[in-house]
Amino acid sequence: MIRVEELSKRFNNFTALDGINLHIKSGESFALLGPNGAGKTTLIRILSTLLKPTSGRALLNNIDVTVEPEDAKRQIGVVSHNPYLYDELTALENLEFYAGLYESNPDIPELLKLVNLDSRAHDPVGNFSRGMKQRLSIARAILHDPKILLLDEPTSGLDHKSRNNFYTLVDRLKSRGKTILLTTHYLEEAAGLCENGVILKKGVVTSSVDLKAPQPVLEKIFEDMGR
Amino acid sequence: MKFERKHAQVFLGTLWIVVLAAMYKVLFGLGPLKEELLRYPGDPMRNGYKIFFFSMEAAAVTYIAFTVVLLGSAFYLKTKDMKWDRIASSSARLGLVFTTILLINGAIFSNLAWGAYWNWDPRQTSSLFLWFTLAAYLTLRGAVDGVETRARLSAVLGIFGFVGVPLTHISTTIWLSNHPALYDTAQSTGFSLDRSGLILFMTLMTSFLALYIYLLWLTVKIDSLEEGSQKVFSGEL
Amino acid sequence: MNPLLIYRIVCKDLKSELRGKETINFMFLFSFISLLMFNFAADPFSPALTEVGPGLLWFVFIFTGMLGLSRAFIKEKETGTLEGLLLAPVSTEDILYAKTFYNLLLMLGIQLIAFPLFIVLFNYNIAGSALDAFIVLALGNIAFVVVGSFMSALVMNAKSRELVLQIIVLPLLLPVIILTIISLRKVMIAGVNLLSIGEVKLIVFYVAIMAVLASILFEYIVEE
Repeated sequence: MIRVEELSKRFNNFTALDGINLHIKSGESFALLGPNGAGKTTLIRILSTLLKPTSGRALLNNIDVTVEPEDAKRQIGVVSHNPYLYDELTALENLEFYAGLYESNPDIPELLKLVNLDSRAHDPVGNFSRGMKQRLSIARAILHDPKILLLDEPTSGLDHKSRNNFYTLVDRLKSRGKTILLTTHYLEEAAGLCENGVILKKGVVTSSVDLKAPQPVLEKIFEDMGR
Repeated sequence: MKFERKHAQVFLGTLWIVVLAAMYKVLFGLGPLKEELLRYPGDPMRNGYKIFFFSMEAAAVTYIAFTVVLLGSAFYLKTKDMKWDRIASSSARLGLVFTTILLINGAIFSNLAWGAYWNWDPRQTSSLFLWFTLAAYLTLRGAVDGVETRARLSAVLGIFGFVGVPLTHISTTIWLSNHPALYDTAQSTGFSLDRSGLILFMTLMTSFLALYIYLLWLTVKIDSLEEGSQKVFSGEL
Repeated sequence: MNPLLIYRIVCKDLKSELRGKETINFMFLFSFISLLMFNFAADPFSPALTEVGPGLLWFVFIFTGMLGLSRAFIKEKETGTLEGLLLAPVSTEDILYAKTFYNLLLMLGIQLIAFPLFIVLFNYNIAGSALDAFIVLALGNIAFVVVGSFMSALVMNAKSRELVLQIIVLPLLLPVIILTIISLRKVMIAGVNLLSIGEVKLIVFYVAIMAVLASILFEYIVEE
């Protein structure tokens, strides 16, 4: 469950988020849409405890991110544009290192199988393609079995095939009951992965979107959003 | 009553007249040191002691400016109010100017007292490193984009630098006691001020402080205006 | 403070450094060549070299460290993995401690090679015990990495950060540079016993102050 109440973030008088309210139920997949600079990444960074809000609250499974950041961190797995992997270390070593930081003991070979990288477990990540790194990044994000996944434009810069592989993976995680919050520029990504969403503009939620609406309706919404 | 441009002009004008009068009095009004205070016949300190009137003042303002950098930095980290960052950075810039004045005066004093412009006196050395610390602080500010990041990082450095200065003073003192200096700094030229000398000294001290406070007020104001105008140009207002 | 997490981060850093060896090779070669160059500061057989030897030896570490240590944080920043660390439930101080400790290991490694090399190249007769000299150098290096690691994190977000780092760190390090040289000279030239050198206690004092200050202020560096 993600609950955001009157959340605001100001950077030296520039208001990135202005009184955001959101409620995302457990097991729901939710999309944050909006043009560049709307505050999507700021919101994700506050939820992942990398940024402190100026005012308001954000709760992850009833844990306040500013009050108990270390507990909040255990609730979430983050996949962003950057895979957060060490190029010199192998896929296996990367996962082992992060598992050590969470002090959890996951079945790493199983995770590697899930993201289809079991054959490359002993290869340094520096030799991986973007798509492979992004898949490994998912394994990294879920190795402490978080209830919530924050996906911040996870497929930007990926080719079509890697993107589809990525969607299959996220679908599999959805069926495991994870709550997903996704930011994206792509219509098919939002419509394919999420049921509901909101549009963010200049730090304010302007409207909510039913992502199961017919394709032409969604296309119209996306077109208007860009303006 | 608001302190406005007209008041500033009157204030600055009065300050100039006071300082010039006091300087004139120091240079031409005060007599030379008494014969019994001279270390040897023809001691250059006979009239040279007057440099003391300027170096002491510069030193006082330097250390006040540096303390303001520390306080501004600490308050910024506590409150995240940009006002404190502007006070700290303005004070650092002024501090650099006053430290330069202090160093030049100190060198002249050193030459008169010990016969060398640079004598590795602990006070001289730690003033020089104070200068370096302030310069490093301003260099860091120039190298960081983003108003808040700059304020945050330089505040942290401001606090570190302030702690570093006494440590520098201690270590240079030890270093000198291990390595006897070329010219003995302990051989001081003691003198006491008479009544008129003391009044002059206090007048100059007050004027230097008033000048520092005025300039601080001015630079803080310029900075906040500049920031405001940048916001207008970037369309945020 | 969680020693286990610190240990894991240090191991990760060591492992990836030993694979790439970019920094460590550079640091070793740089310390070697600067030791060699410093030999030309005076006639190799004159007593002047004995006189300046301890100071030159210490400066080799300062300059080697300055060029090498900045990598520890800057590399994680450049690859974006620092965010990965911050996303994990690790306290920010532990990240600082881990980086400082890793830097110390690097410096001690370099010291292990460069110190004997110095004795050979300078043909140096240490008046006191060589172990004492080694310990003084190690203490100086501890002080150096405590300040250096913190400041390399501070300049992470600056332009031309490697250059800015030098200007920031040297004035702050002056006390420990002076104290280490005095102590080294006492051991290497005067043959004084380590325990009877007052300056050594001052180095420890300096380390304590800087370490406390660094742990308090570190959260302000990484927060946004």
